[in-house]
Amino acid sequence: MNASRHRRDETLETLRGRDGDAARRSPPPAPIGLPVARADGRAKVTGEARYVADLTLPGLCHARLLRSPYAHARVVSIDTTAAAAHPGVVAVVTAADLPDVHLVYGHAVADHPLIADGKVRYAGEPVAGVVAEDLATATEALALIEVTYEPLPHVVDAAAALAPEAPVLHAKAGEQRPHRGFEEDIARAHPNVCSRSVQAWGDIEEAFGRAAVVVEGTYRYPMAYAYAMEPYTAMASFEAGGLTVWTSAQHPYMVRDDLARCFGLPLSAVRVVVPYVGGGYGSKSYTKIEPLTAALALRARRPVRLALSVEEAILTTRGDAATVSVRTAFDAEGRILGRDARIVLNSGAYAENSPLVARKAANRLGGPYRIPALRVESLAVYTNTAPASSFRGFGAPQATFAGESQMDEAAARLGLDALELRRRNLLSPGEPPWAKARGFDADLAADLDLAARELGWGAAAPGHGQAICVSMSDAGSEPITTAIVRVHHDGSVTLMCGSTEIGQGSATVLAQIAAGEMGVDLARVHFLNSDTAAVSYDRSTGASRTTTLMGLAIQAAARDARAQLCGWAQETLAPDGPAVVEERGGVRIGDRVHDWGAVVRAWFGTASGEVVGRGYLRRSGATAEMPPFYELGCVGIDVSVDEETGVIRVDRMVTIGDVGCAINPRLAEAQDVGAAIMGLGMAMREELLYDEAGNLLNGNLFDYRVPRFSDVPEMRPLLAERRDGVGPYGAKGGGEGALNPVAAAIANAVERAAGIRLREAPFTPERVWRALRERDSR
Amino acid sequence: MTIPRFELHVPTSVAEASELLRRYPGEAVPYAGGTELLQTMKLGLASFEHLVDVKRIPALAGIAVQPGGWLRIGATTTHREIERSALVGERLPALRLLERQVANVRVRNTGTLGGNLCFAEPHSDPAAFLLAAGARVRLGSAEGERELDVDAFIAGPLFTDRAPDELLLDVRVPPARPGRGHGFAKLAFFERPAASVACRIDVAEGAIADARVAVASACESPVLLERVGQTLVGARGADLDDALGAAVEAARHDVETFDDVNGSADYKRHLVGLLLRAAATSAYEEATRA
Ligand SMILES: Cc1cc2nc3c(=O)[nH]c(=O)nc-3n(C[C@H](O)[C@H](O)[C@H](O)COP(=O)(O)OP(=O)(O)OC[C@H]3O[C@@H](n4cnc5c(N)ncnc54)[C@H](O)[C@@H]3O)c2cc1C
Repeated sequence: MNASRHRRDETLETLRGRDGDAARRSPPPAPIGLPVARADGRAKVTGEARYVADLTLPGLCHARLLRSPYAHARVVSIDTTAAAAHPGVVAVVTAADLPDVHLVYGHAVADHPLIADGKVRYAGEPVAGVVAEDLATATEALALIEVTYEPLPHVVDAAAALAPEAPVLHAKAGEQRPHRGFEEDIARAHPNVCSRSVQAWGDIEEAFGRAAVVVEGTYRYPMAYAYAMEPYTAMASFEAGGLTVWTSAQHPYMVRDDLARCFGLPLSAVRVVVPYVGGGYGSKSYTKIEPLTAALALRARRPVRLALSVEEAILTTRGDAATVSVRTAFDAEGRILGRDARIVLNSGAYAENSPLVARKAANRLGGPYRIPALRVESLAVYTNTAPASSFRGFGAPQATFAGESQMDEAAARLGLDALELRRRNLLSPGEPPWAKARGFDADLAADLDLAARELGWGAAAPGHGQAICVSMSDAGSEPITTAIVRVHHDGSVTLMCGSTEIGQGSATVLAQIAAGEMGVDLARVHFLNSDTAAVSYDRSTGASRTTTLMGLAIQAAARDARAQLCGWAQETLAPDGPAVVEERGGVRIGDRVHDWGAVVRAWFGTASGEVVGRGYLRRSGATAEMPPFYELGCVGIDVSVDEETGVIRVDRMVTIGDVGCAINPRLAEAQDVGAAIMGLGMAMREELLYDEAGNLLNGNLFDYRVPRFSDVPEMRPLLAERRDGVGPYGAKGGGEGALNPVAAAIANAVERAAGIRLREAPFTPERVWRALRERDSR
Repeated sequence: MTIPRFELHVPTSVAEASELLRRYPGEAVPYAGGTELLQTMKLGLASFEHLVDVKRIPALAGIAVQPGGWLRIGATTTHREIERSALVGERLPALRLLERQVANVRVRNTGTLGGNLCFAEPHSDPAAFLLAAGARVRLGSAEGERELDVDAFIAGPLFTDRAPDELLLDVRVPPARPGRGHGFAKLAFFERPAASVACRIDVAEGAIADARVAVASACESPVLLERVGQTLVGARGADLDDALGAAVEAARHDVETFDDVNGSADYKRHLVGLLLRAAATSAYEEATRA
C-alpha cells in the first residue's frame, strides 16, 4: 500500500499550486483521507459475515420457481394439484392465487407482474412458485406442475421489435411512476417503445452544413450480466400486522415502497433489512424478487426464503444492449460543431430501470465536451428477453464507446493528436454542459496529462497501440437522504444510514467521515445501515452517490450533534460563562477540556443518555443544482494484437480517479481497478447470446465469462484530488467512471496497433480476426 | 440450483463398485471428483438416485511406470496430481503443460483424469493428448477386465464404450523413447477450450517416421486425424516447414468444426491449423532434442 500512497502524493504534488483556495486544500480531519482497512474485510474473509442465505427463522420454508420455456406465450392453464399434494409442499402459488395482491410493480413504469399473469414475455419468466419444507422437495414439486402455453410470435432483437408488424409485448402501456427520473411521457409511437428520451440543443443542420470533417458510424455494445458473487436472495415473513423482508438489495427504501404498494401496507409496516451483500454493480438496484418472495410467504403463512442460482439471476436482470448510430461534425481546427445520434437499447421484457438508462445514455453521449449543437434520441425497446436494468455506468459505457471512438476517428481524419483534439473540446471547470445544468466540477485536461504521462503517451512499443479516453456522467441521482449520528454517554458514536455496503466500502468510508467530523477514534464509531425500520431514509445506493451525498448528510448530522452538545455544555457546565469553545472531540471551557461523553453525562446528570444528531439533504443549497456532481472517467490503455488468432492482449491500464477528495484512497483506487476490469470484461468477452427461439444460449458461468485474474493487465490507478466536488472536503463520486471509457480505449488502441476499427463489442477473437482479414484484402 | 436427493455409496474394491452399479440399473452412476456429474445433476440434465464413489478404490489410484516403460495413470488421479507429478514431468512434459492449463485450480484439484475421459465431453484436452499418444484404457467390473484404445473408448460426444457396471481403471501411455516427442497447444476464451491440438512425432534417421495428430474442442468429439499425421511422414529439417504447411491445410480440410460461443466453424478451422503448427513444432523439437 505504501507504493500507492506515494503515487497519490505525487499526484497531489503535480496539482499543488493550481487554482483553488488554501482553505479547501487544508488536510481534512483524520481519519478522513487515510487508507484505513475495510471495516467489513475481516468478517468477509473469515466467513463470519452473514448474507441473506445464511439467515434463518423459526419455521422457515424454501421456495423454487417454475420458469417459462417460451419467449412469448399465453398461459392457457396451470394445474398445480399434483404439486400441492406432494408430501412436504406447503404452498404452490400462481398469479391466480394472489387476488389480494397488487401484482404489477415498477418504479419507473409499472409493467412487471411479480409472477406471470396470463402471459409470459421471456424465456425464464417465473410462472409458478413452490414453497416446501426443504429445497429438494420444492424442486421435485416443480416437475409436477402442468402448464399449458399457447406460443405467440416473439422478437429478441431491438431493431426488429420496432418494425411495424413486430409482435407486441405489452398491449397497454404501463403506468408512469414517480421514480422514473425523467420528464417525457412515453411516446407510444410504437407499442414496443418502453421509453423515449431526447437531449437536444442548438442548430444541428447548420452545424453539419459547415463541417470540415464528419465522422459517422454505428457502434454496438453487448447485452451483459452484472455478475455479482451472491445471486438474488430474499427472505420474507408476515408477522405482527407487518411484513419484514431480508434481501440483498442496493436500495432498501425503494424496495420498501414497492412492497407497501403490492401488499397494501403503510410504509411503516414494511421493514426491509439488508445484511451483508455479495456485490451489486447496479444489478441489485430497485426491486427484484422481494414482492414474489413476500407473496409466497403470504400464501404459505410461513416465513419463506427464495435463493436464486447464478443461472436464474442472469434471467432476472441484465444490462441494456445498445446500438448507437452517431455522427459528429468538426471544424477544420478540430472543434466539435455538432453531434447527432440515435440510441436503441434492447431493454428486455419489462421496463425495470431501462427508461432511466435511456435518459442517461442520451445525457452522456455528448461526453465532457463543449458541443454547440446536439440531438440525441434514445429509445428503451421491449423485446422477449430477460429484463434489463441498472448496470454500473448506466448508459455511459454504451454512449462512451460510440462517442470516444469517434474522437479518435476524427483525430485521424483531421491529422491531429487524439489528446490534442480532446483538449480543444473539453469543458472548462465551471462550464455547464447543457442549459440549467451544474457547472462542470472537474479539470479533465489535467487528468489527461496525468494519464498521458503515466502511460508514456506517444512511446508505444513496436506492435503496440495506446489510447486514452474520457467520459462524463451526470451522477448522484437525487440528493435526497438523511443520516443520524448518535453520541453515547461514553463518547462513542453510532452512525445510522440507509446506504448499503455492497462491497464498495461505504461502511468504512462513512464511518471515517463520522469519526473525522466528531473528532473521535474510528474504532469508537459503529455503523448501522440498511434496515428501513432502524435507520432513516436514503434514496438509493447507486449513481456513485453514497460518499458524496450520504457524506454530506453525515456531516450535517454531526454538525447538529455538535451544536446540541455545545449548547448542553454551556447550559450545564458553564451556565454563567465563560463561553464554550468547540474543540476537536469536545469542548473547552476556560482551561478545562470536556469530551463529548462528558458533556452527555453532565447534561443528563448521570452516566446515561445520548445526543441524536440529524442530517437532511435535499435539492437545496449546495445540492440545489442538478446533477449533484459529474462523475469522470479517464482511462489509458496499451494493447497488442495477435495477428494470427485475433486475440487482443491488454498490457496496461491507467485509470485516473478524479474524485475530488479520496476519503479513503485505498478504497477509491480499488473501485477504479474493479470498474476498469469490469469494462474490460464487456469489451473483450462478455455478451449474453439469444438464439432465434428466444432462448438464452450462454446464461451460465461456463460460457459467459467474466474476467479472471489471469485476464487482468498491469493496473496503474492514480487519484486526482482537486477538492472540486460538492461532497465532504470537495469529494465527488467514483466507482463507475473507470468502466465507461474502456471499450472505446481498447478499440482506439487496437486501431493504432493493427489498423482495424472495431465498432462491435465485445471484441472477440473471431471479430478481430475477421477485421484483420478484411484489412489484408484491402 | 439444487441437487436432487441421492444416496452415496463408498465401495473399496472394483467388484463391490461394479455390483452396486448393477444393483440399481439406470439409477446408479460412478462418482469421482463430481465436477461434471454434480453440475449436470444440479442443472437438472440428469438425475441418479445412487452415486458410487470410486475414490476409495486403491486399484484406481496412482501414477507409476510399468515394466516395458508404459506410464500408468490411475483413473482417480486428479489433474493437479498429474500436473505436479515428477514422473509425468520427466516423461511427458507436454502432458504436464496440458494439465497445467486445464480449467482452473479448483477444478484441477478435484476433477480426475478418469472423470474427464468417461464424461467424454467434446472439450477434453487429455483425450486429444491420449489419442495422439496412442494410449490405452483399462476397464474393469465384477466380471473381469478389458483393455482398448482411447480411440475406441471415446465413441462420440458424451458417449463412451463402457458398460454401466464397468469402471475405468487406468490409462496407459506407450513408453517415451529417443526420437519421440509430444506436443500440445490450445486456445481457450471461456471456461472450456475453443480448440486443442495434440501431436506425437517419431523421428528416425533425421526424418519423421510417424506422426499422430488429434484435435479436441473444435469438433464434435476428440478425433485422431490420421491423414494429417501422414502428411508429415518423411519430412526432415529443411522441408519441415513445407510439410507443416501441408499438414495445416490437411487439418483445416479434414476437421469437422461447428459454430458456438467460441466462434464460427471457419474460425475454428483456422485455429486448428495454427495450433497444429505449434503442437507439431514442439513435438518435433522434443523428438530431435539430443
Ligand atoms: C469450469 C470447468 C472448466 C473445465 N475446463 C476444462 C479444460 O480446459 N480442459 C479439459 O480437458 N477439461 C476441462 N474441464 C473438464 C474437467 O477436466 C472435468 O470436469 C473433470 O476432469 C471431471 O472429473 P471428475 O472426477 O470431477 O468427474 P465426475 O464429475 O465425478 O464424473 C464425470 C463422469 O465420469 C464418470 N466417471 C468418473 N470416474 C469414473 C470411473 N473411474 N469409471 C467410470 N466412470 C467414471 C461419472 O459417472 C460421470 O459420468 C472443465 C470442467 C469445468 C467444470
